[in-house]
Formats: sequence, structure tokens, C-alpha cells
Amino acid sequence: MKNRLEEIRKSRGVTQEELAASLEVSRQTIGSLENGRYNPSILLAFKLARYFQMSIEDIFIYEEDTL
Amino acid sequence: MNRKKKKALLITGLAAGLVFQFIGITWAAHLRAVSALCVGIGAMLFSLSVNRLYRLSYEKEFPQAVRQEQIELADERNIQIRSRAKSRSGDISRWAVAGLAWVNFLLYGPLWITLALAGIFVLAYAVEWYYTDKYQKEM
Repeated sequence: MKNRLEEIRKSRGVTQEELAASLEVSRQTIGSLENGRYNPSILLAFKLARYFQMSIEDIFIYEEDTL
Repeated sequence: MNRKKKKALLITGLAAGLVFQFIGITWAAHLRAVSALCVGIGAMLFSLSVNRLYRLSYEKEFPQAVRQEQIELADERNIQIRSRAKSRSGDISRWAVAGLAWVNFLLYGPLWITLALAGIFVLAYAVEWYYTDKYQKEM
């Protein structure tokens, strides 16, 4: 699953460390999400969406062939 | 349990550890089995208490580092990584046990070793089936 996390985070001027601290996850998790190596749980996806005040679909791009 | 109570309990544990060691050493000439048991319990209590007391002072001195440790421990990606690693190591260990059973059998080793290893292999599968069934019902 692709996502626009890095683009959104940078546009808001937030560092990976700050985002990780706000969501209470490790910085490595944010890095892995941005690289597309890790797909978040639905809970973390909601937390991210709430943090950026966006919908989950605005951040994560669902592609059928990647499942 | 608050910090003060925890500290008091750990100091009691430390003292109890020393008392057990003392009893173990002084009784060594009379009751060897009891003495060894006392020394063992004493050493365990003492080292556990010292370790936990050190941890308490570390938590007080570096609260930020402790918070970060808690975040790392509860991090969902880390939990998944640990879970996968445990699962893979369990699989490998199970097949290693089966392999050892075969090696022992082919080298005409004692039958009880082959049977014990085969038993462990079967037990591991039984435990896996049990948890698979349990989680199937829970989820």
C-alpha cells in the first residue's frame, strides 16, 4: 500500500521524531511507513489521519494489486 | 505500587537474600541440601533486589529514556517484528528437534532420547493447534 505520509509530514514542517513522539510509536516505524515497508494497523492509520486532520484515504492509497 | 513501597520491598528482599545466604553458609556442615537451597534462594533474592533497585534509581534519573523504552516496547511494528521472530525461531527449533531425533535414531542412540525428542516435537504441534483453535474462537 502506497502512502503520502512523507509528503504530508514535510509540508506541515513536522520531523519524524516529533510525529513519532505525538503518536507514541518509534521513529523507525514512521520511517518504515514512509518507505512503504510497513503497513500500519487500522488504529495507527486513524491516529495518523487525526494528527494531520485528514481522512485515511487522503494519506493511504489503496491499490488492489498490492494486496 | 508506589515508588516508596517498591523500594522498601526491594530492600527487604535484599536483606532476606543476605539472611538466607548467611543461614546457608552457617548450616553447611549440618544439612547440606537445606544449606544449598538457602544459598540458592539467597543469591537469587539478592541479585534480583539489587537489579530492581538499580532500575528504580535509573527510572528516577532518566525518566525520558524510560518513556522511550516503553514506547519502543509497545510500538506495533516492534511487536510484529518480535512476534514474527519468535514464530520463526519456534519453527526452526521444532525442526531441529525432529532432526536430532532422526540423527539419534540413525546413530543407534538410546531409544528414550529418540522418544523424548519425538515427544517434544509432537507437544510443540499440540501447543500450536491449541493456540490456533483458541485464537480462532477469540478473533
